[in-house]
Amino acid sequence: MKYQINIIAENQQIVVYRIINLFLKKKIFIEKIEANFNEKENFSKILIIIKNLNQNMIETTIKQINKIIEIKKINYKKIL
Amino acid sequence: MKITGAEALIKSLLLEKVEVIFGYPGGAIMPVYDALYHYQDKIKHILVRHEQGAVHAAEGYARISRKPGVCFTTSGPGATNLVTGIADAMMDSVPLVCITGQVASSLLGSDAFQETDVIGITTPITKWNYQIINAQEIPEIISKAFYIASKGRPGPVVIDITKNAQIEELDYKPKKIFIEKLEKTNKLEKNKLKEIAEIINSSEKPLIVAGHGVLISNAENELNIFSKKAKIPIAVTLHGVSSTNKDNPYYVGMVGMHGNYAPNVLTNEADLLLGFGMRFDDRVTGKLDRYAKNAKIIHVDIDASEHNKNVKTYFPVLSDLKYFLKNILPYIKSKNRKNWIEKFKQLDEIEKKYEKKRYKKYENKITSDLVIKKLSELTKGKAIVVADVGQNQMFAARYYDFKLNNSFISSGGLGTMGFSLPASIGAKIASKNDVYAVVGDGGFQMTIQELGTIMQEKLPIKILILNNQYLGMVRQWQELFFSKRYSFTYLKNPNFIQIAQGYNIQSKKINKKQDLEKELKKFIKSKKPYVLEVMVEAEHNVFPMIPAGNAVDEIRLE
Ligand SMILES: Cc1ncc(C[n+]2csc(CCOP(=O)(O)OP(=O)(O)O)c2C)c(N)n1
Ligand SMILES: [Mg+2]
Repeated sequence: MKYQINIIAENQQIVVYRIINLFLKKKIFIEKIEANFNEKENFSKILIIIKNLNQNMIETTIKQINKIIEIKKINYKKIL
Repeated sequence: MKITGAEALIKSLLLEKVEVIFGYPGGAIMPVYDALYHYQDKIKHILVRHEQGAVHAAEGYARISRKPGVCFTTSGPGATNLVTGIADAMMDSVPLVCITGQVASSLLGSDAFQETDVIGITTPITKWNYQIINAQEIPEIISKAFYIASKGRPGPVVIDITKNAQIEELDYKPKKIFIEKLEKTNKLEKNKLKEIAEIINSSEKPLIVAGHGVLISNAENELNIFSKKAKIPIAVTLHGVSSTNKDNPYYVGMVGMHGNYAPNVLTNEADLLLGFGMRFDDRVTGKLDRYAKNAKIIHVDIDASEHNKNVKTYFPVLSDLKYFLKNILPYIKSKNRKNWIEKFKQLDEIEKKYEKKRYKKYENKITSDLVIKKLSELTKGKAIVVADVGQNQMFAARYYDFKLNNSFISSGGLGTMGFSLPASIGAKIASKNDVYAVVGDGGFQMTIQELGTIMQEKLPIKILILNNQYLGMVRQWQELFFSKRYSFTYLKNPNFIQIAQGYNIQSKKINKKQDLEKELKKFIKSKKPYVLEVMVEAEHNVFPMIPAGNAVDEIRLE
C-alpha cells in the first residue's frame, strides 16, 4: 500500500529529522520526502510518500508523527 | 532588568516552582552553576556522582512528587551519560527537564572540546528537545519545556544551552507558555459514556487492567470506587502495582510475565477487558495473537497513538483516566459476578499451593520473597519501595503489600539495572515516607557510587541488597531455557559492607535465617542510611512465569 502524507509544521529544521527518525525506527520505507520552508508565513509544508504499510500501521504511525510538538496539521491518503 | 542567560534560567526554574536540581557541573555549564551559587537559599542542588545518577534521581523525584524532575549536566560526556535515564523516562512516561550545557554557538559543528550532538542523540528518546543559542530565548523555552514534560502523557525534555547564551545578557521578563495542541480538553459526550457503560454493565466476565496511568492521573480513589460499584476485578501491571491494594476485595494481583496466575490465565476467559492507563506492553500481553481473544477491549488512555497499537481495541477512549472514571461512574450499575470472582480465588489457591511447596523446599534458607514479605510485614506495607531490575524487582512487586498509593517505583519499560539506588535518592527527597531501595548484587554495582551522594546529603535511605551472587534473572532464564548453561552470570562480588563503611554508611550482612527478622527490625528502625546485605538462596526462581513468546494462559507455576 502506498500513502501520501501531508504535514504543516512550525518552521523548524528539526521537524524533518524527527519524522525520519520515526520512520527509521519502524523500518518504514520512504519513497519521497519533500519539505518547503516558508519563512514569510512561518510554517513548513512537508510531503511524504511511503509504501508497504497496512492500514493499522499507517494509522498508528500517523498518530505517532502527530505527537511531534512542532506539527500543526497532518493528513494522509492512499494513493495506490 | 538586564541579567545573564544563566540567571534567567534559574529565575525561569523558580517560576516553575522547581525546588531541587540533580546535577554535575563542567566547563560548558559553569555560568549556570555560578548563577545557581547566588540562589542556594531558594533552590536545592544535589551533587550526584555520575550523571546517570542525576537523571534516575530526577525520575524518582518526579514519580513520587508527580512534578517534573530537573537535572543539570555539562556538554559532551556529561550529556551522553544522561542517555540511559532519558530513554528510561521516555518509556515510563516520566516528566523530566534535563538542561545540558553546550559549546558556544560559534563553535557548533566544529568538533570543539566536549561538543556532542545532544539534540541528534536525544531526539528519538525525548518528548521534545531544543537547543538554545541566544539568551533571549531562555524564559519562553524553559516554560515550554515544563509544559510539554508534564502535560498529557508526561515525558522527558532536553534543553541544550550554548555557553554564549548562558553568558549573554537579556531583558528578563517572566513567561508562561501554553501550547494549544496539548491543551485539548476531554470531551466525553453523554451518548458515548452511556454506550461504554452499557458494554460494561452487560459484561459477565470483565477484568480491569490498571497501569501507570492510574497514578499519573491521580485516579487511585476513582479506580477503587469504580471497581467496587461495578464489582469488577482489578489486575495491575508492574507500574500499576501501588494503584490499588488488597484492601480492595476486587484486587486480583499483577498481570504479565512474572505476574500472578489467576489474572493472567483469566485474561483469556474475560469477555471484557478494561485497559486503564496502560499500553499493552509485550511483557503484559505475551503472545499477542493469543491475548484476550474472548474479550471486547475498552482502552482508556490519554495518548491516542497507544490505541490499537498492539491490540485491536473495541472502544478506544481518549481521555485522562480520572476524568473518565468520574464521568462514567453515574452510569455504572452494580452486577452480581460472584462466579467470575470466585474463579480468581480458585486459581489463586493453585498458585498458593505451589508457593507452599517452594517454602517447604527452602524451609531453612533465606529466599528473596521471604525477605520482602518480612519487610512488608514489619513496615506494615507503608513504605516507598524503589526496586531495581531482575529477580529482586519481581519479588519486590509481588511480595510487598503496598498500602500507600504511588509507593512502588521501578524501571519498567526500559528495565534499567542501576535504577534503584539513584531513584531512591529522588524519592526520598520528594517524600517524608520511609524509602527502601531493593536491589540485586548486580544492579547495585551499576550505580554504586551514588552511596557518596547519600552520604553527603545524609539521606536516610534504606538499601536492601538481595545478594544471590548471580545476575539472577538471566541465570533463571539460562536454567529454564538454556539447559542450565550459566554463561557469564556468576558474579564475584566485593565486600559490600566495607564499601558502605567507606562511605560512612551503617551496614550489616546476614547469612542465617534466624537473624533475618532481628536484623530487619534494626534496619527499619534506623534513622540513618543503612545497607543491609542479605545472602539469599542463589538458584531460586521467580514464579509464576510466562516464557517469552508464550500466551498468558501458558503461564508456568514452576
Ligand atoms: C543495564 C542493564 N544491563 C543488562 C540487563 C539485563 N538483565 C536483566 S536482569 C539482569 C540480572 C540482574 O542481576 P542482579 O542485579 O543481581 O539482580 P537479580 O536478578 O539477581 O535479583 C540482567 C543482567 C539490564 N536489564 N539492564
Ligand atoms: Mg543477583
